[in-house]
Amino acid sequence: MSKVQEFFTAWNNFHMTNKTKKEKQNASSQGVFDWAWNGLKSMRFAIIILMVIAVASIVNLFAGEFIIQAEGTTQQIRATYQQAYPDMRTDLLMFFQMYAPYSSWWFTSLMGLLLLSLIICVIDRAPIVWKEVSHHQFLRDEESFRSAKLHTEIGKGISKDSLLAALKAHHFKVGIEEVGDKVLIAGAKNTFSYIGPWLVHIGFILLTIGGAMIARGEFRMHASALPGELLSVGRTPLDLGFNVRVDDFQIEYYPLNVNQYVELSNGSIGRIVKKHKNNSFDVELFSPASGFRNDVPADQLSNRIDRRMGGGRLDQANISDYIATVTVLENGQDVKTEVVEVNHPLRHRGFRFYQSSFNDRITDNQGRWMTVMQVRRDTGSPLVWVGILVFSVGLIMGMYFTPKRVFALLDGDKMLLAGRSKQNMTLFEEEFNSLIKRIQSIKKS
Amino acid sequence: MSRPDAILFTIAFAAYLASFVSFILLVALKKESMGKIGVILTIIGLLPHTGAFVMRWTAQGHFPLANMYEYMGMMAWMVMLGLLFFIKRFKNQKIGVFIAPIAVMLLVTASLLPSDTNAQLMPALQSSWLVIHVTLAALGSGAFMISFAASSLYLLFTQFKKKDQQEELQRAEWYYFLIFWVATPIISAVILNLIGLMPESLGGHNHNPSGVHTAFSIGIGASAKHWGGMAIGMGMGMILGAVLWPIFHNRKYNTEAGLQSGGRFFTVVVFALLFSAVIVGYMNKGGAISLTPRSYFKIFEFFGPVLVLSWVLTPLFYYLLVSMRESWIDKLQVSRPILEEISYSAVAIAYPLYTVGALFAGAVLAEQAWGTWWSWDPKEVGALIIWLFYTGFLHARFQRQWKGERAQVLVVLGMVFVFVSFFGNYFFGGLHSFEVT
Repeated sequence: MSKVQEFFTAWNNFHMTNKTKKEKQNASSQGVFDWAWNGLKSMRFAIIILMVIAVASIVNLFAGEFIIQAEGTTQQIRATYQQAYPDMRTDLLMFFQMYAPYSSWWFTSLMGLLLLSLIICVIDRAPIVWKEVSHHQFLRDEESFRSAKLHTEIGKGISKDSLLAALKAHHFKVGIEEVGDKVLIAGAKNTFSYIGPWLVHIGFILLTIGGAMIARGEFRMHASALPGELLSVGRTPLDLGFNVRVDDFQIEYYPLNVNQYVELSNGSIGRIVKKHKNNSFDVELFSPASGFRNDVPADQLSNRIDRRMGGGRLDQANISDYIATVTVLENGQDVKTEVVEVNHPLRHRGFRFYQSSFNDRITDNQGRWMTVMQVRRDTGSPLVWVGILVFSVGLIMGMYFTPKRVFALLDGDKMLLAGRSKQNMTLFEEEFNSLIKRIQSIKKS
Repeated sequence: MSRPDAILFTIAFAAYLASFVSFILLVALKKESMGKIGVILTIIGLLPHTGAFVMRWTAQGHFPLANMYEYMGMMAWMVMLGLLFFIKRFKNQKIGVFIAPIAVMLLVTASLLPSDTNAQLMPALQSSWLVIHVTLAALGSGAFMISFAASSLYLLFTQFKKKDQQEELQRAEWYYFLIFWVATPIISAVILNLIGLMPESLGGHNHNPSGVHTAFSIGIGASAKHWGGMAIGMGMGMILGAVLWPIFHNRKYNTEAGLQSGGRFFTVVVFALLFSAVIVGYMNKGGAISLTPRSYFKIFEFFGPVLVLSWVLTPLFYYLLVSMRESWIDKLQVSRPILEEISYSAVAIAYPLYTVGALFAGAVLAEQAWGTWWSWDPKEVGALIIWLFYTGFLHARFQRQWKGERAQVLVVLGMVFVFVSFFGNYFFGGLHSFEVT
């Protein structure tokens, strides 16, 4: 236990010296540009802006709940607000664009500041990260050995080769430097992990830029069609340089099960409360009269109900899938036919067609409904995908692998050994101790 | 409850509770065998818990993480798995005494939620991204819970170096307790009522005649509305006090002592809030409190009683934990650096899981289903806030070497956000409100 506490004091000391170095650097820098650069890249700024965005998100969340909803042009919104808040609150709400707080000027500026700070950090850190990954680091004097978190002195008779063999057995990459009669040895493991945080920041930048591109220049519209017709907006066929024809639109239902709304063959409506093994059901009726019907066979029940409740169909929850078969037409020629489901959009020439909803009041002569599709195109989505990928890879590299360094100094008979690890000190202490044991066992043999 | 998965679930709960008890006995009686029994009971509990999971999977025909009950069960599962992991890693069975109760508490809270199996998923959710999304988010939240347990225990510890400093601080502590438990709440309640931030003056629309005061009107009568506003204001003031104490105390005494006493008050307030929230949740389930559906008033109807109850409970908890500190925590003999390392390791495990699961997989799922990566849905905002918070914590820790109390306070606060976001859809609705009644 006490050893662990020792590391922590050593760790504190180590960083204390680092901190003072940084402060000295900051003090020596001059000029407005340097000041802004150092300010934006500083961790204090990043933490503050993260916290401000978090607080702003909370405020916006509550704003969405407490401020009355208003839509339309800014004049219309202002008019709606003035009815509800006949004082200066209207002006405040309008100034801070609280009708769409997440795309307001102040929230966007916060995100912009974060982005700027991140870009500067990434540029600033690049050479440091590269040095950590590609160069071997040596501790050159005894003083820096003593100030390392883990350090020890191993007695006489240790050769360079036994040390190298031990390091190799522990899968350390080894670098050697000879200064006069001293031999400096550096062992490194998992140093690729240093790229992790850097990649995470790159990923976040890509994500944010992609998101901003989507928010600014996105093509989005709803188009609908009955089976056999071209996808249209209103009555005009949608022309994107190509056309899309809906060939078929099918609705699939879940098999009968507990909790479903069902219609009995006599037209009354109820809810299944129990399923029996012989495929019959107990139904609790509520329309036209309430009551119970037990052991109703499956063929007398239907979970497809052409009735409405509130805004939607009564059987909406019973629907398992909407399946539209569509054909892409280029210059009147069929190019490809695809099935569009809720989680399988059609992708063609940068446009994406999502099965979005349906209109069951307009049907064709076979009783098939009208499908409503959302058509989108944006330039940011590929960037978001890349961002997510880079971010995730960086996270795994940075958080689940720990870079470890071992330093050795051979000076005649004396050997100093030190170790440094960014995280997981308890685990690294074990590894360090077993390394020492191995060196000593090699020495004996 | 005769569903087979419910029986397995109860067995798992009993085993976790028993393992918690044996960890307590390990600390109290210092018998090594109790620790082994605790570990075995944890494993015994994990088996039926996993069994219940598999059973729900086969019964429903889809991955059983489609409602909040299942999600919370998964969090508890992760907590217990994490407990085994940390026991193995730190070779110290005593840490079970503060991690196991978290799983027990989670399962108690899960029993508040509707547990019906549901074979039907809306088409948008029939995606393998949903499995990744919910599984990783639940595992991540579970690991955040472990870090909360370690951090809160860290904050309840005090390590004053000098004896006279310790005595002076204990005197000052009660004095400050009165300031931040009585004075700040009263002042803030008066101010909040004066500037009209209390619910009855919050705006003209959607005004519910039965309003927020229903919870307080029992036995108070006509002035219930007024007293309700005052009481809620006091609760808010106490939270403000919990934040102010470390800052204020910091100026007066030395940094370490100020942070220590403030951090302890903060933790006690968080415990009181969580405990009251569970109690009020049970009151709601039992019908003692009714929340108005589809109205923002239910935020006040729920958190009003929670704040009032937590204000009442705080001194009780404070007394319990302060006296516990003397006897129990000394016996525990898990040092602060170990607690800090457990807390940090848990965050380091949870953060990638939560980021990839809750944010990325969720965004991809939304893109596949609706064509939108991000729609500022309340739960998305909640997840973003949690993420921003832990991001801030990691940066503070990595780069600015925030250690000790300040970092632990952040972890405890982050856990509050995890809870608020988890239950957020009861109050804010949105895309994730599929299981809300």
